[in-house]
Amino acid sequence: MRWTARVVVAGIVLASCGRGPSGPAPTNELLIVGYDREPDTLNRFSTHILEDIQTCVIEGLTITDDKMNIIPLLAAEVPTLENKSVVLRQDGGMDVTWKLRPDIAWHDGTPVTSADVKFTVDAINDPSYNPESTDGFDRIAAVDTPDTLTAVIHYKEVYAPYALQFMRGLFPKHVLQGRDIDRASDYNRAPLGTGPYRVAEWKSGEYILLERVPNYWRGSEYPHIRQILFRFIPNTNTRINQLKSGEVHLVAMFPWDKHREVAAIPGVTVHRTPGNAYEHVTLNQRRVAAFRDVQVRRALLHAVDRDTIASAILDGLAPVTNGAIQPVSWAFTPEVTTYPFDAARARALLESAGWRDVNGDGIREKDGQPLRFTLITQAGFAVRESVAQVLQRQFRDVGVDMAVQLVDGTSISGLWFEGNFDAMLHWWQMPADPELTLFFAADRMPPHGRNINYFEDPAVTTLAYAADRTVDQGERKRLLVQAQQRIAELLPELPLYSITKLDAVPSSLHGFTGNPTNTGVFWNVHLWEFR
Amino acid sequence: MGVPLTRRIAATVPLLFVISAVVFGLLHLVPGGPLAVYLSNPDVRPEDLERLKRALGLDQPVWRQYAQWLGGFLSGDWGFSYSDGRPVVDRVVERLPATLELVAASLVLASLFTVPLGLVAGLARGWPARVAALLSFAGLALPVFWFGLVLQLVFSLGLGWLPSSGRNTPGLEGLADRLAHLVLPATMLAAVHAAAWSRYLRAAVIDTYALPFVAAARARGAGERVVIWRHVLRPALLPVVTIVFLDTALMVAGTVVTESVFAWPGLGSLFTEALARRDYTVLMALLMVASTAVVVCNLIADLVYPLIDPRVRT
Repeated sequence: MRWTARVVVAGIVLASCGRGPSGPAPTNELLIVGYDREPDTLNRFSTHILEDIQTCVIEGLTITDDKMNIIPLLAAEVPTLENKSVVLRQDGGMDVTWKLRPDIAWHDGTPVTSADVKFTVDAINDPSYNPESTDGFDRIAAVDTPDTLTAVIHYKEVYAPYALQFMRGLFPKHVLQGRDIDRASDYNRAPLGTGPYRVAEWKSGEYILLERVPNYWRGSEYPHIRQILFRFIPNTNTRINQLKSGEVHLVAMFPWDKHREVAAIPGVTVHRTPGNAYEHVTLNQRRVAAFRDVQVRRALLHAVDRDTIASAILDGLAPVTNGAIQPVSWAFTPEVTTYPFDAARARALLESAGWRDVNGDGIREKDGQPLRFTLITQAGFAVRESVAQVLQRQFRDVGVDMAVQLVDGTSISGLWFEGNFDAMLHWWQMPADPELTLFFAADRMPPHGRNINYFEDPAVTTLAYAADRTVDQGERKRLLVQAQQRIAELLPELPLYSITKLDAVPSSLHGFTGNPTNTGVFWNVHLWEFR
Repeated sequence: MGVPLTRRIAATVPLLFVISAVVFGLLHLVPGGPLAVYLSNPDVRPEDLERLKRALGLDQPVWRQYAQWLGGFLSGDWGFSYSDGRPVVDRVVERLPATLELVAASLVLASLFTVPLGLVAGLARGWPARVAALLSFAGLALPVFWFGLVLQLVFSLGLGWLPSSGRNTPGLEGLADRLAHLVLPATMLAAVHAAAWSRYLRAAVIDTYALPFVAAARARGAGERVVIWRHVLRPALLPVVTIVFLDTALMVAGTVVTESVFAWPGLGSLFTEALARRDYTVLMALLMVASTAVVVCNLIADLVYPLIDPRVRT
């Protein structure tokens, strides 16, 4: 057949040219990253998540490390009450003083100054620009710049996550002043930063190539790798095939069901990082009356054998969790009520709540209504689909009828945001700052927040808000622990397991640590080195 | 033929209007708009969502959004992408060459498979006909997605002959590199289409073969080769040409699956991204490109008929 002949000829020609299609081995010259999507923009304030590529180019005043600690980056230190850089004012507001590291310049040589800090705040609060989030910035009344390295942020109220305010970076004033930032394609596609890399080329639909900068501020020996190529390969199978053929070297956050396949690739090490996210079943109390009864919610969790799910379906990759704040966070407490697998107890709780199988069809009823609901979850996640099936069977064992409906990723966001679902299996990526308000406060139901359990408890609401308005970390933790205990007691949702991030990394790469937050694995890329 | 042609072009204009209105409405009916992508990000506050909604004009009634889009579109302003803020025209134009390149290559390959397969399946007896039929059925039955992955497994991972995805090796701009990247996606696309087209050709060949003029040609003493090439194949190609051009139009609009499997940077991958983001302006532009391509390819098919079959010349 003619076509096979052609392919054979093409293959032989290529092979004889001495450069086969299999990519070069990873070296300090070039690291190739297989990336699941193309970013919309590299402007960190416009994009929808902190992207890995930006992390290599743009630096903030602080960053979260692999233990989720907030560490200074462009700032000389993290402002705290102890070092007197955070002052609580009598009028209920607060002042935060940022000291910049001296001698840091943008990649074009212009020094980074406090004027850039002020410009960033003003640009984000300017109604003509559309950043994705103005969180925190909208609480800033004014910025003073007493000298080129000092910026004093005057907040209208106490804002607990102030230390993360400039994590996304700064806008270079000399480039963006007076411009329409939404349309500043030169900046948005190749932003001027201070990081170890700059954008050398962005080929739409194909790749972004980063190149090391000659005079990185940490020392000219950093970074060790000369070029990083991010190739956009949306298809997971293709991405993993490329990893096998050596056409890409690193794949961050690959799906769990590929774990065994990837772990078997020679020269590739799978890194596991405990994530700051948790998989759970949201119970929409507004839609399903039965969910308003705490007995029913507890019964549902007792009915689920989470240990077996974790070991059998999740291959031991994700530990069972009991709440919204994960062990990786400083605010985590294990001292909460837990609900181990106990089908008999689940049945007893349902009985006492008045749910009995009157007509003998295996499904419990109360006031003539069967205990029945539909669980929605995102299509295309093999693991999630399997977990949904297990939940279905285990609920059925205790007389609860749950249907499963798979929905595409964008549609599902629309559904939950309008509360148009009974129950949902999904995860929340939690903010690096441990905040519960957005998810559990009574006044944070959509459209005002993400309390999509439609859960109302005055004690939880009070504790969550109090924690948001406390700067002292010890006191904050005390409040957050109480809130976690109260939430575990009332169980508005069914926590299942903590997310573990899986990154496939060349075995010869040193310095890679992973990162639990959406800062991403490139947070310390300047230390990466092939040896 | 001139008058009906202009009339047909004129008739397509209202058709395009109707299509655009229907699709615009449908897109807005699908749950989850351009802002859905922000919802799972804890940093994006409800207040931010309200602000972005107003800024993007998504708080307006759908008919007004459509009127605004249509006004802009007609005056040549296709608007800005919701996801990256760049002009929609730029986003579409930069993806067009990759798609055209892939479509052209697979058209050539597919034609090379179609004619022999169709002829053999239609005219031969015994095992050659059965093998030809088997091949086209196999081509039709293969899940495209799976076939692409098998090509990758065999030729990239197994034999290491060809790159598994992408359009070129970054940093290398040579023709050989380009061609090597083109082989697998073009083969995947060609195989699927050749299978379908050869089935049409087979049916047409069988029908034509039974017609009196074929017998007449043979009676005049024409050799079997001449009979098949001039009297059977040419008229039999007519229905196939229509299908080929329609398929081409759809391919130009984006070969979604192929581009996804091979990370090919064309309109298909742009469509997938835009759909996931509900990037309405980009989706509408792609849709209009697709509709126009269908119309244009239909017209070209009409123009090509007389070249193939003298009976259509008027």
